[in-house]
Amino acid sequence: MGDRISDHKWSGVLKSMDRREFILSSAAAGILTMTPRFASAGSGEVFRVGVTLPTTGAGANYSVRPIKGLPLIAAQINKRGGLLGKHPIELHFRDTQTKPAAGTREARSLILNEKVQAILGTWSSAVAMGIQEIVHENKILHFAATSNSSKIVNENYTPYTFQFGPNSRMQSAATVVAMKTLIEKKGWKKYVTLGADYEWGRDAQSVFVKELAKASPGIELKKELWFRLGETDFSPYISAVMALKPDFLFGAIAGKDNETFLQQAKAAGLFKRVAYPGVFLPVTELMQQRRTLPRGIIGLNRCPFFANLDNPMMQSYIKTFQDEFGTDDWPDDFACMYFDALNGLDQGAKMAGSVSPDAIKDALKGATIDTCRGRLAFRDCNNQLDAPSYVGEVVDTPDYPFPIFDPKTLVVVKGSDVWLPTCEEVKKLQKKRA
Amino acid sequence: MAMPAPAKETTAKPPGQPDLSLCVGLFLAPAFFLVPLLPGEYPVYVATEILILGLFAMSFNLIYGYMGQISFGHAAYFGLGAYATALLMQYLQQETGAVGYFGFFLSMLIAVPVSALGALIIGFFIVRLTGIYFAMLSLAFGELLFYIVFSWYSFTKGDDGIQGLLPPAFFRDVYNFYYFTLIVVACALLVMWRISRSPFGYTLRMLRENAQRAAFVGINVRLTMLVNFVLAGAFAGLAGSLWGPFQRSVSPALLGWHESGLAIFMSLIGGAGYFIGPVVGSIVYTGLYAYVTRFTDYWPLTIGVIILAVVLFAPGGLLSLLDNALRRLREKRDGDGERRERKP
Repeated sequence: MGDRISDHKWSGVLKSMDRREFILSSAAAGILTMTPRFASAGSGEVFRVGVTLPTTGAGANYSVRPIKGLPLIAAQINKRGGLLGKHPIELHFRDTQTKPAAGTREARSLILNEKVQAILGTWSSAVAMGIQEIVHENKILHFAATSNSSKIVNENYTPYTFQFGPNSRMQSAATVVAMKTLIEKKGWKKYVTLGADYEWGRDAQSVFVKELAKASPGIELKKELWFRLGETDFSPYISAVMALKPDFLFGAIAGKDNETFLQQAKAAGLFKRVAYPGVFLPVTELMQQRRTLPRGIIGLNRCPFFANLDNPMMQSYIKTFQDEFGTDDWPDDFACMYFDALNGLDQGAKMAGSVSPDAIKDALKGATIDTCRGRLAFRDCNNQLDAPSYVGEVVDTPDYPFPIFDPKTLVVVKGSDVWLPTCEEVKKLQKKRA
Repeated sequence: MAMPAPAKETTAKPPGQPDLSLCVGLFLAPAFFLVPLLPGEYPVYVATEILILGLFAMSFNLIYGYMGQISFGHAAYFGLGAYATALLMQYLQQETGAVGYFGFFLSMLIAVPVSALGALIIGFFIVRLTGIYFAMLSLAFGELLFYIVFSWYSFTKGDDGIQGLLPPAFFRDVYNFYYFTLIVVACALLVMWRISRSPFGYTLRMLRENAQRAAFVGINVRLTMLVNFVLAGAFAGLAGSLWGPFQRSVSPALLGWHESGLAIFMSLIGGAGYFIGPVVGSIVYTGLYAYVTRFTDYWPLTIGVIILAVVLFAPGGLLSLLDNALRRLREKRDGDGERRERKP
């Protein structure tokens, strides 16, 4: 019976279509998708750079501005002749689909087919760690511009990878540092935690609780609340938090769960009664959720342009970006970190006096580079950039059509203040590579 | 309710008629053997992936093409195999970060019983149902396993996955690993071929065509389905065991429904009614993916158009086009012969 029904449906579809028309339109659609996927460098001995970013899947939303802006930064470098003034940069973009298998496949293809000497990317840490295996084996530079698991530079360390954002451990510790300041300033005494009930959620919550107890011994944890991954109804948790009347709520909530929670908590009026610090709010979210984002919550950011407006490099990024895409668009955290990564490559080549990946890798080890967040050094033992974390209260200002972090109360936590204390500790974590 | 599964070559052929799968297989075998002669290493990587995913799709087709049930959670066994190998390889890694030959083979071998055991436990519940209920239950169990692997950080490393799965020095060479994969996959296909031509294989076809009648003649339907489910899980696990050392890493996505969809796509593209169909599907899917994504970001659109075209114009898969063309040729030849005989 099932066969007959489906056969009937298909024959109906077929009858309503002109076969020749279908073939022609399919072919046209196929050809239209074959758009060029590289930014050409012109003549000369080129230096090929692969950019592995998700344009489909969970991370696609955060790839838009890096993909728009990277060719502009490459063009700036190429105006000077390219790396060392004689090696124009050629960018090759690939979609990782936010899947590790796709990421490693694309990394291999970039190395073997396009002969790239460096890979920038990617968004997901799991994909970045998959790519690390391929770059290490092929001795290719890898600039992890935005993926920020601490494992990238610790447990899964390879000397070919450089991390440009604060890693996950640094971010957690930065939240505690910022919280200490806020607790003292606001006289907070008790708090509640709400976390995703799986390993990451429990780990993030326990690190925060332990570190906060050390930093602010007087603070009291009233209750730990846990929700299942992929929760769609947060109302019982929101009611429970409100009933406990804490001064603030710490959330170990990520991705889609965080978005759902924010919407429901705002509708229930939670943020009018309880402060909610520490949520990751990149500029992308500040722009996209400008109407719905609750004001007054305290967010964490990795590379906000509005906190670095006095930096000439950030000024240049904004100008370059807005000259091309209009003054109502701004480079987000992700774009800025990718721009830093490409400029870092340029500076690395200058320091090495060579474009050989091995020479650049050696030159950048422990080196200090100019970034849009100031002059920052790579940590000698794991290539982690001394990248600051930014914690601040979400407020409206007359300067932008979207909320930013309140410049008056913004806390900037230096990377070197919150990374693992000693290089011996880091080296203990780093695995041996054959 | 049985799911519609195309039945062409899986039924008995008239005597003297060549077996299309055998012919295609005999053509593909030397072609695969000669892939390393192509310039560069990239085609060898692509061919390795074709073989691994082809074996995975073939294992799925034991359930779909032969038994007439569709599993939306078949990647669970592929992923179980990949994780079993990855975890054991990681456990056996030496101070240098490499694994020895014994450890490498042991890690791969363990994947088969682990996946088979997983399929046995899950299959025990699933084979009680057929049709859409079978499909939905397989999806539910698949997603359950995915979430266990995704969430169990202390054991599976959660959503970060496991990296650094470096095989021993000999197999780090892409050509050596390719020939190793070719041998493993060829052996697995021979065993599957034998199974498909055995009384057990014909019993599966009978279940697909009419399970009630099969039960009436004394066949234990559930047990037969369960045995086949376990076999399919074991072969998927074997494919999974090759994946980790090939990609040097595994991630929970390997157990997800997207990965299960790959096996379905490959079987549909190649032809689920043909023994070798899923391998042909893997050649088309993986081969196109490897080269199309160099030129466009719109891979999902590209593969969508291809699948639409196959479903509309070759619902039996690409091999059915070849099969139909050969049949027309034979009919024409037989017709010509008859006409010649009729002439005085």
